[in-house]
Amino acid sequence: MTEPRVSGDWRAWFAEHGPRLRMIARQWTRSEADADDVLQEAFIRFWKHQRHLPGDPNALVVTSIRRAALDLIRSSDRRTVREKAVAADADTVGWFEPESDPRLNALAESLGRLPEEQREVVVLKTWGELTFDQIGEQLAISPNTAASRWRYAMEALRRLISARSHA
Amino acid sequence: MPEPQDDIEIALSALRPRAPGPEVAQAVAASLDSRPQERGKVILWFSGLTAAASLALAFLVLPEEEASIAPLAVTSELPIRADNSVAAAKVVADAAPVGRSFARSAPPPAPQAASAAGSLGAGASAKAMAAVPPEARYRLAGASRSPTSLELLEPVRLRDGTYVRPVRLRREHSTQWEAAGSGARLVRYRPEESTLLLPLETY
Repeated sequence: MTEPRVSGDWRAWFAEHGPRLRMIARQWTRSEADADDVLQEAFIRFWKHQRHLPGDPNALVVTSIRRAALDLIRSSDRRTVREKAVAADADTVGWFEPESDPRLNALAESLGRLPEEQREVVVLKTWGELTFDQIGEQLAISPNTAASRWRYAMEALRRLISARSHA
Repeated sequence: MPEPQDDIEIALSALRPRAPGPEVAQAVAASLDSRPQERGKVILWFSGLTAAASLALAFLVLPEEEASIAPLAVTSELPIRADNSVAAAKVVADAAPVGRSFARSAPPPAPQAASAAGSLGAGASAKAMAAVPPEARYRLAGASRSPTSLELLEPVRLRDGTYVRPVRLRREHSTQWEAAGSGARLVRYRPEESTLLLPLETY
């Protein structure tokens, strides 16, 4: 895993890591606007107060994003509603830049069909660049559970892509 | 040949998450970039006040004691033998503290201070004075104290992230003692130096 640079100009760091961090924020929020708000708050908090803390700074910034997302949910007191809404209406194609390759678009769409708990692991591992141990800490599950969810997600994505290609 | 699952992983990593909108970067910049500027302004603002604050502090903590020195013209003739007084004066001068705190200075003791005043009572001191021949007595010929000088040093950052400006205060005391018989003079020189840390942090 590439350890993010946490010194120097925040703009360079933000330009390099902003997209994947926003992706992480997006999976825990209801809308694009909420994702931007969460990313903004989490990044400022991380840069001001947490980037010099011991430990993996990448895990710290992901934790900061998760906390900001949970704070946003609690502040609106709509957690249950939000979770159902995200699970049901996850338009994951919009989470990514448009691709010319239809297979990539199909994969992005299939990601939205995964159970939320599996998609969470996929996002944290692929774009959060976390290990299964770190994912387990983030989600309060064991590393083995995180690895299992990852495997199930890969199998599910493979099935979904195959089904689309045969349709 | 890679497993199909690996192909999925590779394909996932090929997906490009959407970048945050420019308004996010602007909001972050408004928060992160304004901070050092404000801090700079604060430091600048405090720098201007530091001199005034230091002067006020110097006068409060290190008040000029001309009034207390002037009465030294009382110039009590103090008994001390010339040979002993030289040694005593040197010892006192060598032991003059540097960098001590802002305790008010007592009227400068006579060169015999180490022996007579400390260990003997008033009666014993009078006896000692009577025992010393007049030509060996010293009288206070003068006392002076330089104006307090302030040296403003560059702000420094402490471990907790706050900023302070060190201020060094200096002044010098000297008392002159004259031997009644020979007219020889002893000069007792006492530099005094202290350092203050004026906080510059405001948030």
